[in-house]
Amino acid sequence: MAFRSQPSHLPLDSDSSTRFLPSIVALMVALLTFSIVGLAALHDSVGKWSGQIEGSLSIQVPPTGMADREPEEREQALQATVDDIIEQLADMPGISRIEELSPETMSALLEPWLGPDEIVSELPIPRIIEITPETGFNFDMLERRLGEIAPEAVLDDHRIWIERIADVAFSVELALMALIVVLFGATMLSVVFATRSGLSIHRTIIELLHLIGAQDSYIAGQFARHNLRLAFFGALIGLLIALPVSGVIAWLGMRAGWPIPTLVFSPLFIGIIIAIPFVVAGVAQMTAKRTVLRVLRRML
Amino acid sequence: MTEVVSFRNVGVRYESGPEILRDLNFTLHRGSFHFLTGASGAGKSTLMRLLYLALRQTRGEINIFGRDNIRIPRDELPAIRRKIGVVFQDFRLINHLTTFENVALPLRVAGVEDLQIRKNVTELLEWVGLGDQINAVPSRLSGGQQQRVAIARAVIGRPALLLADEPTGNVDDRIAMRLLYLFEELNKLGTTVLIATHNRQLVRRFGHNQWLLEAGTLHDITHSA
Repeated sequence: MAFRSQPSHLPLDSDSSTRFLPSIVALMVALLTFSIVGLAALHDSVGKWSGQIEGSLSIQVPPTGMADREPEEREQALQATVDDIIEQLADMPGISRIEELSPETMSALLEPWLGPDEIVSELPIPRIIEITPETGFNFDMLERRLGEIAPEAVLDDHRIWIERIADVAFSVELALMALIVVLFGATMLSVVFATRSGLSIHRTIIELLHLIGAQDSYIAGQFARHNLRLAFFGALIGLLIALPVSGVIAWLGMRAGWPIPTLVFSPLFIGIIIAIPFVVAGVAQMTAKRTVLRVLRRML
Repeated sequence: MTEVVSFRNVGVRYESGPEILRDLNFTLHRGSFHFLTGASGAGKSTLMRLLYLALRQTRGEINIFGRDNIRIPRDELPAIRRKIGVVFQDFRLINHLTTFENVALPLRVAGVEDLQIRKNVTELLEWVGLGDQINAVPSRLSGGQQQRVAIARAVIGRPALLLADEPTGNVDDRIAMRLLYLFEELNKLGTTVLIATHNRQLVRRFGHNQWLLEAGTLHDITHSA
């Protein structure tokens, strides 16, 4: 992209648009970068959650109808049900692993709420069986088999809430994509506005250039080069603002325990971020050229 | 003789107002030299605008370089305009450009090589007495100097048709004569020249064809003046 291959015959540098356009482009590019970073982070999380939908599920075996039994008798009955479920489901196609959550793990999980081990062991707490299914596992068949083996057992496959979160995240993803489109649109409108204002300010020079034989493309080229330069400068500023801010947000997120989205380190993401100033400048250049040509066509 | 411009029953009115120019019939042949005189408001500038294709007639027919002006496609207008050199009454210099760049403008838009531009523009600026003002911007020049820059810009591309609106209005007699000699030199090389002026003395001294524009109509007064 050549910024200046010939002297500019239009004093575009003195226009108010010269100050206005880089500022507005910087703002748009900063928002655009935030949106792209947010989109990448969210896309990463949705991917992980979607993996989890297929990655794990559990069966709760509650001590239903055993409230009046002695703890030892209740535990034996529960253990028998758990063993029965594990035995019958172990050879079911699509299950790569099935095992009961150990009493130690259960105690550790419940300790923050229920206190030390001794109390846990005395309470009628459901037993948990963890299943690791293979890809394409038939959940409905598992639900039917479980109903036959132990009707009181509850299949908790995390799918519902993970699906809901994934749905929300996907909606936010779509909204971010729409925002990116809107930001591009707003940038283009700003360029159109600045270009039209420039055309209006320099009408007499444009008329003169016409009268001495300048082609429309020659005049449009001057506006296009000017806007390319301003938009590239503005986009660089926007990027230089957005990237450190995104970094600080990521750092704060890490301190709060959020996982770092791995997608932001991918060559595709880095390529997209590097491409932003060039794409925005190119869009500004093309928009300015098309705007000028459209306006000039109406002049004699 | 080759016709450069011909007008047939041309009339111009602005919107629904009265006709500013009416029933204009004339021909400018290649290599001809005309002075156009007339009182202020007679329509000289409107006629000039028709000639340099900044305005279209409301009636009649204008042929310029063998083309009907109404039928010239928009993308072919620049090539025709490059054959016309214009000295505007208000100069229309570009304030942020130097004398050199203002004069070089027609060559730049025509895509002439830088080296050629430098040679031709420097030579011409020396000729019109502005060799020492080559890097000055218009605001640093006197009215007369600005006028010479405007003239240099009009002739730098060796136009086939030169139109000048009051080209000697801001210069002393010595410079006015020098500029008229420049126009004559171009005329001898085949350029058709039409100069709108109030300066009757100058018109008489050079003795070329004279047209009088009066109340929107054109009269040939070459032999009666």
